[in-house]
Amino acid sequence: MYGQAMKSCNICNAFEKRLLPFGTALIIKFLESYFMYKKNVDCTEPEIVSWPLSKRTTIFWLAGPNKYILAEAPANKVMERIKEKEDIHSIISFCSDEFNLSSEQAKAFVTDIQQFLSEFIEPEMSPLSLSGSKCSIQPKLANPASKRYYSIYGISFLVEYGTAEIELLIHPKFEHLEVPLAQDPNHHFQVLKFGSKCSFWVDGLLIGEWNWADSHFLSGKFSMQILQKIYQQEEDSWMAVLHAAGITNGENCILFLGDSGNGKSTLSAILLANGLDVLADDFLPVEGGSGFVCRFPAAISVKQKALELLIPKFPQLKEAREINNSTAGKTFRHLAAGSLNPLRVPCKALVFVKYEKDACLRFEEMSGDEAFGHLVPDSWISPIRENAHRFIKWFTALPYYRMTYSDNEMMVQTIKKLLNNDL
Amino acid sequence: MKNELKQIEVPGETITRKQALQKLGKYVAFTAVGTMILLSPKKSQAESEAPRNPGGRPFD
Repeated sequence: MYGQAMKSCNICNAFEKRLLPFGTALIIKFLESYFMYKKNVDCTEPEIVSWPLSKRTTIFWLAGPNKYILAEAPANKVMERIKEKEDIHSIISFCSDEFNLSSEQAKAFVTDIQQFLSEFIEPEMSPLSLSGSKCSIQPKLANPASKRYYSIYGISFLVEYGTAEIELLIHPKFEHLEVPLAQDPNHHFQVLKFGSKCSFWVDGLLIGEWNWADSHFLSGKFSMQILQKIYQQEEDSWMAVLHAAGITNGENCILFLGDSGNGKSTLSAILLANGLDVLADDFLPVEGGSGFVCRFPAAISVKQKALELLIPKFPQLKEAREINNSTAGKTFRHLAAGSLNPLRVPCKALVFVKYEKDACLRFEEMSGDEAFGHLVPDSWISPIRENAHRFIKWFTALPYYRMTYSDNEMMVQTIKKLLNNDL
Repeated sequence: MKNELKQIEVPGETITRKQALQKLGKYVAFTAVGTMILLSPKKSQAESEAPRNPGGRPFD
């Protein structure tokens, strides 16, 4: 079976070039995963779940491919009928009557929506990424570049870094959690780099393998594994991990979102210097059951351009090691100044931020359509049905704002008022 | 994905989604492209990467 697949399948190159160094056991595991995946996606039409976002817009979640569609009226009415698996002629007839269209126009509209759906339902799979494969070929590193021990919330980790380059990718964010030596560490992580590929192992399980150019997924998976271990919750217990910064007054929190470079981390550090606490920077986990946002104790990445502003408030930044991430094209230093205790708090609002010179402060409400459109592509959202439901429910219950700022004092006052229901 | 939200490329020119919808005129309300946006979450947890194209307003 595997031989035949190797001949007919165009992913042979991936096996040979990317997986062969890890041995036959891993290739067989990969093939099993691939055929299981193909069986699942080939045999089922994806389930569609809907949720009203506003009077005119509905969110649809496609269960199989884990994609979201924002549909405005009148397309949302058609989507609802497709979701209910209504007969196509009946949907066309409905459109014709409801929207006063000729039968040709109604047919063209419904066909257009069907075509749109079919294009995006086509599944994607990265042949490079594996998850949780128990392999008998756990690498034995005779000379890892370094071995480091960390202690986080009472859980101890031994992390072996295969090269100095991969250590630089991960260690600086967790350096403040390093301990000299842990007896019988609870978990053993290995982060390796072979040529242009990198891989991540936890307690003998291969978590994944990536191209070095995608090393931000390796960092993300590393953080996810730390998160799972310190909160003792598996991946399916988490609803989402957002590309956001979170600040808290200890009772609830506000999340800052926006593209990289918009100033989320700087803003968090400024608020930290003004009496609030940082929940997470960049990697922000949301629990499935409660919808609470949890603290993730990695350090804040302070960009080069923010140093002048922040060094007077955090003098330790002056001596902090400068990290040059050539993959991301950024230079930054790490700041670990917030509380390190575990914390779970409800979310008060989502604020999409942007630093803009001379903007002073503009703070305005944002539509759910726009907020959802920005949030989803930048987030990992659990593909599990229950969690996707929870995520939409969580999102639709929140207020959304856009904040463009240059005046830090006004920004701090506004965020404090928002946290204290005083805005 | 952000690129999908912001720009639609046609041969010979690049226009924004808003401009494309304006060109479609009154018929836009009865097209998928004028009324539906597809959003793909990340396939795995990730940390920051280099800035890409900025996002756009879905229904502008």
